[in-house]
Amino acid sequence: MNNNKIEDILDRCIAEVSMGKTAEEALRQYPEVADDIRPMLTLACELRKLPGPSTSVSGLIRTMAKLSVQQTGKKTTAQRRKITLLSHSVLIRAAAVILIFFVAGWTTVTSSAQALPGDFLYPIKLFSERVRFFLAMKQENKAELCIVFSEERVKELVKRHSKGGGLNKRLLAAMLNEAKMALDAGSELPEVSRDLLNSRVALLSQFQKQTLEQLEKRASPEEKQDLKTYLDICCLRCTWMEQRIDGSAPDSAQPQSKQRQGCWDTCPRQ
Amino acid sequence: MDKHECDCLLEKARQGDSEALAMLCEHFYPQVLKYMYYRVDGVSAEDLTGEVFLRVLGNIGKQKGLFVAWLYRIAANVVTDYSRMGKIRQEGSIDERLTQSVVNGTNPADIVGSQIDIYNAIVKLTTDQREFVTLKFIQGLSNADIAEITGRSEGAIRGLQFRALSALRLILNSQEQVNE
Repeated sequence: MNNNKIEDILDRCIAEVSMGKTAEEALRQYPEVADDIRPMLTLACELRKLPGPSTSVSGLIRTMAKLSVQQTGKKTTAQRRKITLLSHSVLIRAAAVILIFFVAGWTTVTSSAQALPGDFLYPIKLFSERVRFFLAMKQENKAELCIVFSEERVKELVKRHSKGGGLNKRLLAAMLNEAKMALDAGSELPEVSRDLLNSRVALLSQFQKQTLEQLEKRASPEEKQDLKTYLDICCLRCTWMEQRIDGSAPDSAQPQSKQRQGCWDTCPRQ
Repeated sequence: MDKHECDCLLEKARQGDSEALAMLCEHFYPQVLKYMYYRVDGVSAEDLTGEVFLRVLGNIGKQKGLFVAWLYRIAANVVTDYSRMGKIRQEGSIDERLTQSVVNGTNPADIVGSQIDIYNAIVKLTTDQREFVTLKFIQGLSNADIAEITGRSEGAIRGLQFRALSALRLILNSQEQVNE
């Protein structure tokens, strides 16, 4: 006989007995397995008659008391959770304020990148440049930043002039000063890096000279007078840098040389 | 307590009504205690029944489906947790109160031995078989309810029933031979 079938018959017989039939009445329908199932069915009937424990009142009271204590604890935990959530919200608010300041600051600095002298955001642009310079750890990076700032001043000069803002002497002086600072910053670099920097400064001086020559063509007679001084310095610097790269100019280890003083250390009044 | 009343109390208990929860506890306490008596020894049964209701209190808000099935699942988990901790006596002996109720009983089994023998035989079943016998014959639950509580199919429950009763009969026969 298939085991599954016996299991099913046993289950049916148990169900019939639980509905009020006697074991023999239930088994009568399955004579072929009655002998196999009878002991188990009788046992099932006996199991149903097993007594339960008498419910102890003290046990019930103890359980209720535990539940009561637990429920009080649950409320306290809920209150604590509220406090924790409150402190979480304070942290979230603080984080939000910091984020707003950060985003606002970042947006301002980004917007200020296009600012020109006289604009509201221009001081922020200069300040962010100073911060970048301060944060640059290596001398090489500081020199590179000075070159970038000098190029930026040249662009500002041209933009401002093309917009009819006139010739800004402060920008002209800053342009030359940043180039000088780049050269100074590179004086302590290893030879290979210094040579590379010299080439960059030479190109920068060339770029400055060409830009001023272009500006001179569009400048008023009065502006041309001012431009001449700066243009002369640029020309001297270009010559000096060419000689330096060729090896005929004095080494930067002698910064006080007359030639250097002539073109690099003389800065017109702003 | 009818089903509708039980559902109403359950709904209130889920929303944090402590009085409804207390009434549910009072109603189901004897059933859970009886379950525990046949799953563990008598001394632990009351403590474990209390633990079951503590867990009910902690999780009543998340309760879904048939409450009785959920309640017995918790009870089964409590038994499992305590047996893992080694707190349950594996070789159970007859609790005094059970002995008393059997001695006072009117119909000792003639064929398979007394109810005391049956109790001692139940203790020797495997965990699954013991759980099934308790739920089916002591608690009087249907196969469908047991299937939901244990997470098995009804077919598997029928198989378990057959094996549990066969094993119980074998244990009782061997006990009888020892006594002779």
